[in-house]
Amino acid sequence: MRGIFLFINKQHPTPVTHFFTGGPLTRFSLLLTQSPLANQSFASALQFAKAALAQGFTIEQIFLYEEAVLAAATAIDLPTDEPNLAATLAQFCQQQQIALLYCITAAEKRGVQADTSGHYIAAGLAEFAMRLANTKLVQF
Amino acid sequence: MQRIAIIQTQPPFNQGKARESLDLILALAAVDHQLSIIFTGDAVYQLLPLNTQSSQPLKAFQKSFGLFALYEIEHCLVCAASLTARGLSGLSLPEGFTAASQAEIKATLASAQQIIRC
Repeated sequence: MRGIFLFINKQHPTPVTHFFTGGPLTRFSLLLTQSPLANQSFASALQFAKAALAQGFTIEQIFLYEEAVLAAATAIDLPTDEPNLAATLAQFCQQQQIALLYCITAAEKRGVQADTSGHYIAAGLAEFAMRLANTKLVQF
Repeated sequence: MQRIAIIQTQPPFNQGKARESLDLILALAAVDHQLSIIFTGDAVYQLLPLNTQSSQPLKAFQKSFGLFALYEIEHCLVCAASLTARGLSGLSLPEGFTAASQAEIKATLASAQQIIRC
């Protein structure tokens, strides 16, 4: 199964007290690499993000790489009876003010036109790498 | 920056996965994360010598493994059991790559702060 791969980092260089548990306040990075059209990875990521926020954690970034960059292709027109997971995720990130980034190189390679709605932010892998510092990474 | 282990699991040419995970590795290394790269399962096929005479239209991305030293990626482990299972235990690995037991791989994963599975 190429499902969720979760690893909790053991050191937290900038501990901030969690208002509820008194423990360190975790910041998460989410990495998505699978197509939003082909499986449940976007739905799982969304579910995770909602649960994390509900518990008082913060999400530093949601980064779309490889096939996941298709989410930024606004010209995709889904049949009305199919759930639009990409749009749902974008809406959620906008409401919660979470940085929703996609790899511009991976997107251009797939012919994904630059998103102009402002929901998705074009970024490089270096930005993912820099935002990754001091967060816990969860991969979908 | 952080200690990140990257687990390579994909063969070189079935999908674009191996190529794009190499880009990810170089980007992470470029911002000074300390990386350990682990080749396991079918990913060991990425380390076979390239047939430069092949007429197949494939990008020889494996040449970029030679950049690892430049990017100060010092820990490149290749799962010895995966090599043996594929009849490749005699394979001469690229410079800087070492065959590793499952115990060594476990120890590497245990000391990492983040793990990315490619």
